[in-house]
Amino acid sequence: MLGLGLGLNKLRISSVAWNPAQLGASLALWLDAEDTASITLNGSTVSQWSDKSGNGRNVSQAMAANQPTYTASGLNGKPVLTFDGGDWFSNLSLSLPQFSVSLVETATQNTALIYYPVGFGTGGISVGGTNFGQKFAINGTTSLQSTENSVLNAPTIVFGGSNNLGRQIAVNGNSPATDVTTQSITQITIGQRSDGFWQFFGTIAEVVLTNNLLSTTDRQKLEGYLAWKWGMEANLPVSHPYKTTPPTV
Amino acid sequence: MKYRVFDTEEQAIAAEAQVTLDSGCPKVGVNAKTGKPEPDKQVTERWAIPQQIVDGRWVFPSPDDVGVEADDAWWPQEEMI
Repeated sequence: MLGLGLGLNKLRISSVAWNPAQLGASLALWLDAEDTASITLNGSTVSQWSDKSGNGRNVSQAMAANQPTYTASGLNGKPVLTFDGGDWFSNLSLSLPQFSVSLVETATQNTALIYYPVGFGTGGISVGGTNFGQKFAINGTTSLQSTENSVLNAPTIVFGGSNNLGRQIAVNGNSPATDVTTQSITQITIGQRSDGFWQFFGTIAEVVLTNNLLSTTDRQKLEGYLAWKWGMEANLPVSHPYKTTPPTV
Repeated sequence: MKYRVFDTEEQAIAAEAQVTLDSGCPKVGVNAKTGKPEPDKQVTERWAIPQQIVDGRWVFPSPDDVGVEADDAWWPQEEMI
């Protein structure tokens, strides 16, 4: 009987859903549009998106014209923030020699140009238009492009990051493209590049920033968490460990 | 998004100040979950900051449908290396 009881307890513990808080001290910034308590509105636009990491890195925009719109049922019946090509949250100073950024975004305009849902110092995570091969990229002095194309109006999970061995960018849980260039963060901006150009056209549902390049195990847990939360598990490749069930603790 | 376009910075600043006044800024943010004001959080201070474009004119986002669509040539060109 004792053995059976312990077995049930283990089963119960293992069914707890994984979320970015499980990344512990690695978690540097966590913006979650589903958590309406973390969103401050100015009418129908968002003046502040509060950080859930515990680090107090809230992002804000004091200019009404540059605030993203709050869309209550934007993705999988959950809220998202809509950026119209002239919206962004002001820069946060944040120095990270190694990092990763994961986000759920949907590009809603395709031109010849390149747009940045997340900027950091020089460069950022970009969505490229026709002049840029429709690729996602992690940009710094040089760029590393994704294998997969950006698809207009298709919700997408994008992961990019760097450590002292090089960079990675992965789309929808597929194997990352890599190179041996190292890159760091000096600031972070949501909705445009940090120097104020190339504002994003589209929606952002969630952003998770870490102070290291996540291991494959943690990257896949984060991809699984984002996919199941935002109704995008069909986007994951068949070989993904969280294709059929969301990650648990 | 449409923009209002001006020949000089002074013209743009004056026009933006009027839009800021008309839009009721400064505005205290409201918590999306509780619907209650959050004066200790974000305050929307003004409508926009006029920005100089490549040809020397000044622009800011239009609060309505009056203005012109932004031209990609307004902004510095991005190159992917």
